[in-house]
Amino acid sequence: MRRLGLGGWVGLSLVLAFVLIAIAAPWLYPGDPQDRVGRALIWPFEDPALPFGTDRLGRDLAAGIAHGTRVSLLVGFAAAAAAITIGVVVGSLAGYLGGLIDDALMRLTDTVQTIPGFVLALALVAVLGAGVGTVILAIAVSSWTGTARIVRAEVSSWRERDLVLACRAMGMGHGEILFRQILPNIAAPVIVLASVVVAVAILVESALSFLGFGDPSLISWGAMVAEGRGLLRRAWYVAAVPGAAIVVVVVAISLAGDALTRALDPRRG
Amino acid sequence: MKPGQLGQVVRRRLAHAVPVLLVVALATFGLLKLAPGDAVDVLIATGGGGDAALAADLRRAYGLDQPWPAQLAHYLWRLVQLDLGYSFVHNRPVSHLIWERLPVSLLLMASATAFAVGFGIVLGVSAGQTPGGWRDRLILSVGLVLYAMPSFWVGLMLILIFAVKLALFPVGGFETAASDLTGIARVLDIAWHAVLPTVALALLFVSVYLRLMRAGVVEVASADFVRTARAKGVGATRILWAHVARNALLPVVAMVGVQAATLLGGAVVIESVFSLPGLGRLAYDSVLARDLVVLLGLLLTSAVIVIAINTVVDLVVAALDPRVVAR
Amino acid sequence: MSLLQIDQLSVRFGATMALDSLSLAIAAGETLALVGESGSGKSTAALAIAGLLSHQATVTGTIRFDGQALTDWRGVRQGGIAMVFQDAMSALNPVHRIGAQVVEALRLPRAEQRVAAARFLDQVGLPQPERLVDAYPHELSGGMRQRVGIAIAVAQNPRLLIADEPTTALDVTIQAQILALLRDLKARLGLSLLLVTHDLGVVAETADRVAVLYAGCLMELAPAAALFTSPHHPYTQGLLEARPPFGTQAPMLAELVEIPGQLPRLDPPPAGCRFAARCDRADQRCRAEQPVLRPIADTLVACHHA
Repeated sequence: MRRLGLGGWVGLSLVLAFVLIAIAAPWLYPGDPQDRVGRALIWPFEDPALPFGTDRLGRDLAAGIAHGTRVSLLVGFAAAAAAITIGVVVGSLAGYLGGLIDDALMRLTDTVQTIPGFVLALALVAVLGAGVGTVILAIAVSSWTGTARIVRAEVSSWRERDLVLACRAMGMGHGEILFRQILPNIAAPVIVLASVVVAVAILVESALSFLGFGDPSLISWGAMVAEGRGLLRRAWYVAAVPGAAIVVVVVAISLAGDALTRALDPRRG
Repeated sequence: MKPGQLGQVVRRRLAHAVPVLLVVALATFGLLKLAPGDAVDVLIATGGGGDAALAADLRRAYGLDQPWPAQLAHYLWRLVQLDLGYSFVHNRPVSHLIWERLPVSLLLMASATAFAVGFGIVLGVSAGQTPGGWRDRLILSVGLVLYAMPSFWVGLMLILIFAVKLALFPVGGFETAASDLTGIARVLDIAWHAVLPTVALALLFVSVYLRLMRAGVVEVASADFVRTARAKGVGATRILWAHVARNALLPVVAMVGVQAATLLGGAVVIESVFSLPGLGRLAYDSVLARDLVVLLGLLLTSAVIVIAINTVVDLVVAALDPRVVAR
Repeated sequence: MSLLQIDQLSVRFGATMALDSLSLAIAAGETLALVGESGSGKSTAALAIAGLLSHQATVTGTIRFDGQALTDWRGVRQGGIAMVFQDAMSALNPVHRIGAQVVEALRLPRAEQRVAAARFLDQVGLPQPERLVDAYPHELSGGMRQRVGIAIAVAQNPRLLIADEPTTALDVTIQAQILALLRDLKARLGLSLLLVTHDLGVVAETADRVAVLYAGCLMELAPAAALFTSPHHPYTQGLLEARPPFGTQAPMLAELVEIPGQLPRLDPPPAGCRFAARCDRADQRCRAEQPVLRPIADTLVACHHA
C-alpha cells in the first residue's frame, strides 16, 4: 500500500469523501436543494451557514453541490460499469474466437470510435428524451471501445500461451477457460481503464447537463454552471463553484487511477 | 514521401472508411426508426396541424408507407447522392445547413489542435528532459488539472477573466457583427474572436499531448541514436529537438487522429459557450427543436470529418516517419 | 608518448562498481583489444573514454588524450575520439537521411553537405554513395548500416577510433568485411583502434595488444601473440581453453564461455581477487587480498599465482 504514494492517497481519500457526501446528501441538506434558503446572491464565506453562498434564486450552492454529487457519481460509475461490461464482452469474444467474428467486432469498434460520442449523445437525447438513463446509455455506447481493444489484445495473447491448451487438455470448456482462467489475469489494465472512463463520463454528463440536456428533475453540477453563466459579471462564483467541484472530483479519480496503475503493475514495486 | 505513396495512404484510409460509414448510416437509420413519430409527424406539427388523410398522403409521397428494407435502401441511396434529408424546422436541405456551418467548426478544431499540439510538445519536452525533477512534476500536475477541467467551464472562466474583467477579448461570436470589415482586417477580427474558444477547447488536449510527448522524450532520450549523436559532437539543444523530440513527436501526431472524435464533440460544447455559428450550435438548436433529421445528418457528417482528419493525420505521419509507408 | 593514457579509471553506478581502477595506454597507430564477458566492464570503459556515460555514472580517475586530461569531450569530438556502436540499426536515427546523419556535426554549408557525405560513404566502401545519401536507415542492410556507423565516425576525422562490439550483430561473412574495413581505415588514416569485443577470433585477427577484463578489473595486459601462446592469468587460460579447436569451427565464432560459475555481484565487489570464486587455483590469500598487476616478461598480470 506504500506504493500508492501521496497523490494516490489524496485521490482515494477525496473519492471516498465524495462518495460519502453523495450518500449523506439527503441528511446533510434535507429537503429539495432547489428550495430558496435565503437572500439571492450571497457571496461565499459571507454567511457561515451558507459556505458557498446562494444563487440568483437564493438557493444554497453547497446543498446543490452535495446533491449534484449524486448525479455525477451515479452517471460516472454506472456508465463506466456499462462501458467496461460491453468492452469486456466484445473484447473477449473477438480475442478468444478470432477469425471472422474478430474482424467484424473490430470493425464495429473502429466505427464507434469514428462517431463523436457527444454528438451521438445529443441524437439520443433527441430520440429518447433527456434523463439520467439516456445520459448513461449515451456515454456507455461510446466509451467501451478502449476497453474492448485492450481486452482483445490481452485475451488473444493469453490464448496463444500454453495455459489455455493445458486447460483444454484437462477438459475445461471455453467459457470456463475465458472467465476463470484468462479474464482474472487481465483485471489490472481493465480496472485502470475504468478509472479513466469514470472521469470521462463525469465530464460528459456535466457537459450535457450544462447544455440543458441532463435530467430535468435532478440537480447537477453542469446545470448549476449553466445557471451561473448569465451572472458572470455580477456573481461569477455561481458558475465557478460547481465547476471547481467537477475539477476536484475528476482530479481525485485520475490520481486514484494513476495510483492503481502503479499498485497493480506487476512489473514495478 | 513520393506521390505514389501519398495515393496509397489515401486509398488505404478510404477503403477502410466505406464499411465504417455504412455501419454509421445503418445506426442513424435505426435511430430514425426508433424515434417516436416520423418526418410527417414533425412536418404536420411544425406546419400547424393537419388531418389523418393529409398525413397518409404525405407518407405515401415520402415512401414512409413502404416496408422498412425498402425505406433503408431508399435512405442509403439518398446518402450516396449526398442528400442528408430535408429539415422542416429550417425549411432547407440538411446538407445546406451543415455546409454553411462547417467552416466555423473546422476553423475552431484546426486552431485548437495547433494550439494543443504546440503547447503539448513544448511542455512535454520541458517535463521529459528531467524526469522526476520539479519541473516535470509541476508540468504533470498542471496537465492533470487541465485534463479534469470541463471545457465549458474553462470557457466561462476565460470569458470571466479575459473578456469581462480584463476586456482583452470579446465574450463570444465569430466576428464583430455589422462591422463591414474586409480583407486582412476581417481575418484579424475573426482571429481575435477565436482566441478564447481555441484555448478553452485545446486545454484538455494540451494535457493529452504533453503526457504523450513527455513519455516519448523520456523513452527516446535513452535510445542508441541519441548516444551516436552525442558521440558525433552534436550540441545538446540540437540533440533534444532534432533527435529526441523529433522522434517523440510521432505518437503525438498519430494521437491527433485518435482524438478527432473527442475534439469534434468538444467543439460542439465550446461553440455553444461562445455563441459560434458552427455545427455545435446547429446540433444544440436541433435537439431543442427535436429536429432529428438534422442531428442524424450531423452524426454522419461528424463521422466523415473524423475520417477526413484521420486521413490527413496518416499523411502527416507518413511525411514525418519514413518507415510508415513501407509497412 | 601515448595517444591515450588512462589512470585509475573507476566507474560506479550507485553501489555497483562497474569498472575498478583501470590503467592502460594506447600508442598512436596501435590496436588495443578490450576483451571480457558481458558485465566485465569493457563497454563501460569504452563509453567512459568516449565521454558518453549516462549521468547516473560516477567516474573517478583521469583520461588523457594527446597529453590533455579530458573533463569536457567537446574538444575531442572533432579530430580526436570517435566511436562505432554494436547495433547499427538503433544507433542511427530512423527519421533522418543517411547523408544528413554522417555530416550532421560538421557545420558545413548546406551546399557542401551532400558531396561531403557521399565522400565519407565512399570511404567506407558503400556502393553508389551519391544515392545512399538520401536513403533512410531502414532501407539498408545490417552490414551497410554498420558501414554508415563507421562513416559517421570517420567524418569526425578521429585519431582514436573506439569500436564497441562492431561485428556482434552481423552475419559471419559481413563480420569479416567490417573487420577488414576497420583494419584498412586504420592503416589509411593512421588511426589508433580500441576494439571492445568478447570474440577472441576478432582479437587474434586485429589486435596488437590485448587487455582482459573480468568483473570490472584488468586481469592481464599482453601483446596479442604472447597472450595466445602463453597466457598467464588463470582466467585468460580458461578462456583460451574454452575456445573451440581450429578446424571444428571458424575462430571468428569463438566466444568467451564455458568457465563454470558466474560473475560476482559488484554492489559492492568482493574482497580479494574477483575471479577467486571461479578459479581452481584460488586459496585463502586470493579471497582476502586483491592482487595487483605485476610484470612477467612483456605482460602485466593480476594474479597471486601467476
